[in-house]
Amino acid sequence: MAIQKKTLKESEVSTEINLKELLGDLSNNESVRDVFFQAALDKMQKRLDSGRGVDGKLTAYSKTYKDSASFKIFGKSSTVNMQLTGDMLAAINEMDSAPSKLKIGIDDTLEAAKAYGHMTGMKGHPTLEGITPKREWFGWTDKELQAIAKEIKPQVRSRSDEISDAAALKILDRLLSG
Amino acid sequence: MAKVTIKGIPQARDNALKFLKNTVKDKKFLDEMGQLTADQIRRRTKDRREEYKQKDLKDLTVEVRSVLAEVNDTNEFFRKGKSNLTFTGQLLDSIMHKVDVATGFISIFLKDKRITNNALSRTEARERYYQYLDIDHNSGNALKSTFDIKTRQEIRTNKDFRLKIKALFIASYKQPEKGNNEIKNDLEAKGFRFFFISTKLNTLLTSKIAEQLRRKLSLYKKIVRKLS
Repeated sequence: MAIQKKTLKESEVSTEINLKELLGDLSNNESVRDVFFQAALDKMQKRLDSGRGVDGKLTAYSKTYKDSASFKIFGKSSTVNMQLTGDMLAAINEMDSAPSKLKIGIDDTLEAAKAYGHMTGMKGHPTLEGITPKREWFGWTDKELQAIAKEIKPQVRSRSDEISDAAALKILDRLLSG
Repeated sequence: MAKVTIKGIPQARDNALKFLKNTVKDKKFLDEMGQLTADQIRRRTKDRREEYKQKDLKDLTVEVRSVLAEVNDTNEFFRKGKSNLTFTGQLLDSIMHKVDVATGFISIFLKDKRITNNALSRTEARERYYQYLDIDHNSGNALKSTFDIKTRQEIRTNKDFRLKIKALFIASYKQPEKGNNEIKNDLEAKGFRFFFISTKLNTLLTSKIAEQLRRKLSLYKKIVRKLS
């Protein structure tokens, strides 16, 4: 069975991960889901910090961009990490999905369009298509997801762990649901 | 998980911007959040992004800025024609943060001290005036009557000249000594705002807080070393 189902459109850039396939019954546990989510984000962030996307090194920034005021104002380096303000990555969130699945992606109107543009080389854009390179920055390989699941599975939570995690998750839930 | 929203962030009052009572009383994290907030407000304003983009400037203001730029150390990102609240850069550079770990409060505020901007001196103003009139005041024919006649003529017929002369007058006024907070208030009164958390910045900060909370989960702590 496929581990991921990817969506790539202007209004949504996401991947739906089959957690049940990876973690079995643990997929229903809130703490496990949050940890998987954070570990996946960490993995992607670390890759981006070294200038790499899902399929390898990301295409270098253009000279025009590197010479721009925005580039200097936000203190960017030549490493292509897909972050200027950080808004696009901050828009990555857990989206609605079935309990056995974990859908991670961007559905904010502006940020999804941005993400889609980068992933496809500005496909559909009247002037930038064919000029802007494709940068497949978002997502994970099956191998990466399997590695995360492999580390989570054998961990046995003691009762005290559950209590502290429950408290943290309550705060998180309150924060994110407003 | 629902889409990220945030409520209950108190609004700015006087010279302080406070946000987010939270239970994550981790000094390092609170410091990072404070620094991030200050930096982002500064950068987004300089770069004219989203709600930090300032309104268009009037022609007279553009001309005054152009003149004052020649007698002040302007910031690298100053543009005479567009406002990004970055003339010398002192105002945005004054954005600071402080943390109260006991309460979990982060305060964002402006450090008040600044160096007053230079005005145009009389000599400099006069030099420009002669340039505008295209009169060589060093020549023996530079009679006062010549200046007066030409000035009256130009004021009557030349809109651009009128603007330039007005700008010279304004630029020559001695700049009053004001702190950054008073300047902020003056700007806000004229519709130039920067001292707030925009919707996008709000989302960014919330995502960082959520990330921090996830990292506190004990299960995360157990696996993180093995995954790194």
